[in-house]
Amino acid sequence: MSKGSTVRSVHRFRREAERRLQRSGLVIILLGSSGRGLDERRDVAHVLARRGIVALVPEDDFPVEIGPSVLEVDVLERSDVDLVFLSIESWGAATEFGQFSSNPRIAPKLRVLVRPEYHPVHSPPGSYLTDLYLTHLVRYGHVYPVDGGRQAPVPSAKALIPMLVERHREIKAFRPLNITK
Amino acid sequence: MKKLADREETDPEVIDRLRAYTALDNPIRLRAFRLIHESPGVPFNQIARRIRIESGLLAYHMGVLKAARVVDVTYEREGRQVTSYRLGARGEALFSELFRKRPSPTSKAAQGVLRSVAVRQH
Repeated sequence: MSKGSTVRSVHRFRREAERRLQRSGLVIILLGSSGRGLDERRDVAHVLARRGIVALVPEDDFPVEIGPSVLEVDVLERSDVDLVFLSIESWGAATEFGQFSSNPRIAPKLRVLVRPEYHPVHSPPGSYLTDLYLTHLVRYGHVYPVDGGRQAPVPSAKALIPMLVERHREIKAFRPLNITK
Repeated sequence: MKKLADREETDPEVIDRLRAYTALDNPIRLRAFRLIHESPGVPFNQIARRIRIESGLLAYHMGVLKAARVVDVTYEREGRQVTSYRLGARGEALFSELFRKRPSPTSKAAQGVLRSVAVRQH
């Protein structure tokens, strides 16, 4: 079988499976801290795999010759990954967030998970990092509070809408090309 | 629309095929897949040399193949740790589906079939 026809066959088999499930195949990466965070990512990867999604945990799936930290901007920019989930529970993950969120080729794929006390919607922006979450939230809309079952405080529409609109107009004024449409 | 959770119970084969073919639906990963079939137990660094791709990006692609359960991975220590890849039963089945060939008239299997037909005709 020629190279071209094999590529077409793979694509056809994928489309057939997608049509039967009425779902797309996805490649996603789960990034975050080690320890309990790593166990949680393994659990999530297992759940996603059972749904037909290819979910990578770099610490488990990368060859040992390459450290998980090699999965940096350059690789994510050039790979065919669909979504990058980043759980921010450590300064290392926060640093990665800073890198990824400022890269226009990665940021739209980025889904950020933070504890409610650091989420700009659930607690007022105070620190630089929370402020950065707010910018990402307004530009891309994908910063989510995760609290593992604790009750998260939720703002009123009256508090939320002005906050989002205010940041949107700031970005539009200073960096109009950064607004996603 | 039927919930995906329902389909998980009824259609694990389709789920498995979607995951596998999503992983293979990339020219670099498909080349690596063929190479691993041809050279079972091939180390990561050798794949990088043969495919001529930088190791960071290849690590991602090999991670996809592993996470999709298309390849089996072993870790051995030979001075330093070495990651080696081979196709498991699932990978071999996928390979056969993608690259299966009709037996050529000169192949041993084909000659055997022709011989048995000839014997029956006499």
